[in-house]
Amino acid sequence: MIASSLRARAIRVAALLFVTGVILSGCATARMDAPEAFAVFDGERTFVSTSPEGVVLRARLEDNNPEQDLSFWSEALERNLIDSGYIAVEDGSGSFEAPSGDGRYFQWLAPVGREDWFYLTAVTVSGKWIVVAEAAGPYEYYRDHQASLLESLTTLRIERSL
Amino acid sequence: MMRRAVPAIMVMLLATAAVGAQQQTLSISINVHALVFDREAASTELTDWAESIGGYFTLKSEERVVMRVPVAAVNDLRVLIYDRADLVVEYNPQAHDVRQELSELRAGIESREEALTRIMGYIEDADTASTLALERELTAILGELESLQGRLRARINDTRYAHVNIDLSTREASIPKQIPSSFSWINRIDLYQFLREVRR
Repeated sequence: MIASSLRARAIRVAALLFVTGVILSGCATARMDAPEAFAVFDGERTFVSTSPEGVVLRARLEDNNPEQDLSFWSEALERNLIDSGYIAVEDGSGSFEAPSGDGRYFQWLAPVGREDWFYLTAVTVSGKWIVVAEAAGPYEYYRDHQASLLESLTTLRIERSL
Repeated sequence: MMRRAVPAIMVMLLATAAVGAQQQTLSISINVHALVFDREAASTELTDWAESIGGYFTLKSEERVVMRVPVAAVNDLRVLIYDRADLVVEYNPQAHDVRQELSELRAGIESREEALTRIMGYIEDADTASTLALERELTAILGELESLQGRLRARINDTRYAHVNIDLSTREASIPKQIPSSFSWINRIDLYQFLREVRR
């Protein structure tokens, strides 16, 4: 009788922990400070901001599964985009530090219609999460905001709400 | 072949410069074909640069730039083009020694100036009929003299300014095709998917 009581209590505690874990993980959101002159659209699990000319920036969370480090994921990302045909901007990659951890970014060129567009991809790794930031815009407009976009990467963070 | 041509021309330029500016006899022409991302910006940058170093342009369009660049700045031009272009398809410098032509032009000018001097001397003592004939001869020689002087100025200009023709093309743009990754989140890293999602 005592054993069954203890078992039942253990099950309740485990269930409570499980539900708590689900709640906490389900409310995690990627956030970052928007570059100057960008309008912000806060989503439940994503952060999106846009400049007046249409340069867009987004940050979101992905599961770090299988769990690997920044070196692994940045190399996997870079290799996949190169193999997919994206053109790496010369001297367009680098490292940065953010509240969500150390990060790597890559800048690419790709056509959108008849225009050349810049495509920024950045990742940081924080425990069970990969924080992914992407930005894109036409060549000349992206150049205007390039410095502030890269600066914004240093503000990538994970926020949790209950 | 181009790698050998550029140092050879630089040696010739140095040798010519050592003799003295008034004796430069090389006419430099350079043909370039470059791939750039923004042809209008590249065209403007090239012509602005040429003017900033004492040169000038004779044609400026998105497709083509024709400009004259001081011979001393030819190497700087090469550095600029290779630095700014996405891909240099062709860089073809050529040098032509115009020493013989300059010599012939100067000789022709000298002989016509001598003829002018003689004719002016004859006119002073000539009768009316002879004067008319001499004036016709004078007019013809003056025309030849102006033509030769014009050609001489042009050839001297050719030795001071390299003739540069730059054809601009945009890089061929091929849309990236997402290669499937073993990792699901990497499969969601795609410019076109990103744009569709943020524009919804």
